Amino acid sequence: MKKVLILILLLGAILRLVCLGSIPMGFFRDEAAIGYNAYSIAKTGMDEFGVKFPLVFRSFEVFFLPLYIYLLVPIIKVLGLTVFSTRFLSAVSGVAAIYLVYLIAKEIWNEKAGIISAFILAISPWHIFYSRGTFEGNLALTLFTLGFYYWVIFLKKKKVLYFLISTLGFALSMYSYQAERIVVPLFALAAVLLGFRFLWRVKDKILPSLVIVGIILIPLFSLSFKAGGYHRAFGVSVFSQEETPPGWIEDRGGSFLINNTLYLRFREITSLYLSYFSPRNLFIEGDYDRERSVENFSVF
Amino acid sequence: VFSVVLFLITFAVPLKEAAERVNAERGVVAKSFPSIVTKVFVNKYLENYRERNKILFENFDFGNLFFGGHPRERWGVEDEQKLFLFLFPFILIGFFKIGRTQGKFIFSLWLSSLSFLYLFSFRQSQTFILIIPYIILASLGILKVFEKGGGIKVIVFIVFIFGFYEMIFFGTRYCLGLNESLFSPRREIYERVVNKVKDILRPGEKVLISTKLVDPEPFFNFYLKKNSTNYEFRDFKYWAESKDNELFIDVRSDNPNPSEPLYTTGGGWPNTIQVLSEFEDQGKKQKVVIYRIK
Repeated sequence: MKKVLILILLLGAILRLVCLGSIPMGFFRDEAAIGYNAYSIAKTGMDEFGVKFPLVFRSFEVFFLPLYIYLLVPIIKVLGLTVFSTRFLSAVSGVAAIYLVYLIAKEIWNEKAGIISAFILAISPWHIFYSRGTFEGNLALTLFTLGFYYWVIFLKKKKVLYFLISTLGFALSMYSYQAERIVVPLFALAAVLLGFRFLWRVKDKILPSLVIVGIILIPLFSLSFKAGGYHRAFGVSVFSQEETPPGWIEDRGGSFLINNTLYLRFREITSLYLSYFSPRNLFIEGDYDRERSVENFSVF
Repeated sequence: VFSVVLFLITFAVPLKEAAERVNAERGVVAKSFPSIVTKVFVNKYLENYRERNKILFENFDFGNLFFGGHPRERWGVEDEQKLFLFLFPFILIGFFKIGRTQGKFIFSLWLSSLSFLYLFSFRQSQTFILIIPYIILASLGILKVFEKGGGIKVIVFIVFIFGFYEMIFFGTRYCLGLNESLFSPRREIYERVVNKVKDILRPGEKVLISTKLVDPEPFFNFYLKKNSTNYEFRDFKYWAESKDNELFIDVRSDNPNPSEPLYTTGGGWPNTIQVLSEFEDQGKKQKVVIYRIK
């Protein structure tokens, strides 16, 4: 089994690392901005706007959370500022995610399930796509997976160290990508609700870990009240969109039977949610945004 | 196995369209990759298989079935809602609770319909035949839920109230003509234009109708209740036409650009024409105008 796992990891690494500098051919705006900011930090300790070691990196109208950029600094120092080096961290975290998925499935079911899970992730077009580009979301996913793995073994083995590593993984994922700042608290809420009795019993043991992670998260929490912290949430949330919901008929005011905002927003949210489970989205066509998918390939 | 069967089925399908697409794609990628790679990964069989799969999976897409295409409509895909959203949980329950015998019956109906659609490349707008399996699954789901009884009936009751609202919502919009596609040819504008023309047409006068009205000929035949022999349907520029004994039916978009024949800087009509009647064609966001040349 170990040999099979090594082969799968090798396959995952080949699919993610070979010709990384030239494939995918397009090197898009966010990748260049992340690479340049890491280079600027390496050279001057400042970002492109001259801010010293910022907590959030501004570029055009978007704000990047810092972890990917700071982890990129040593890589760029060694390899220089190239397309390959900028994408390298995402590719490596993609390979790490394959191993973590193996561990999770092995822990929950058995080693066979772990091998199969690792293989499916290794060849997933979705995961390959995000691993081969400079996507902070990919690093965040790996850290989230790390947090989740240690959460699973904490519940099984009840060792406080696992709890600490788990919460650290989740906290670091929140420093990597904006979406994790919503997903992690939601996961934490669900996890606490489901395991409340057990957590209450071991509350004294896990308290120091919570304090450590709490301190780590203070800067991120303070960021929530600045433009760089809430800009993304305001930009993509269906609740904050100023536009009318899909299905709204122009030139008609709001009304119960023609333009019912509540009903149309409900449909919008439901359709967005269900679209992730749609067979078409999973197997045939991915994101319609060509910056976010490979034509003719989807998740699996 | 399912994928291999689908792939083999595509060999029974004409490959002309796929071959044309492949030739175009190969032309683009040949600059970057050796020809052997493009032959393996860009070929008409694979392209045909992908295209057919896209069509097939459109019929399982929740957005297509329940939401009029959303969220795909963000990228310009136009769809119509096929089923009410409140049926979704019942279809799911029906799908998972269907018995073996019933399942075989529904599956055979489903499979035969889908095979037909797969082979003949019908798009989702033409897959009306699939409504039967979906409705049967939904009704089975409703039955199963009621068999359960207890507190779940309250939830079902709430879902039904929601369903009732959906029906009223859809019905109101439909009756008011608000949820028809912008490109629907069933526009009332034809009837109004034809009646006006009948009123003002002089004996022996020829009528020129711009094809920008979108397929006007069958509608003129229908509302005139005769073959429209005195009517010509084509694109024209009024200043290039004979000025005598001709009536023009033309269109101008709500935000005209200077290339349009009826464009004027002030937004009015050109001085050289005598406007007899104008109609707002809201569906197409344009004005239909009947005029003669002064």
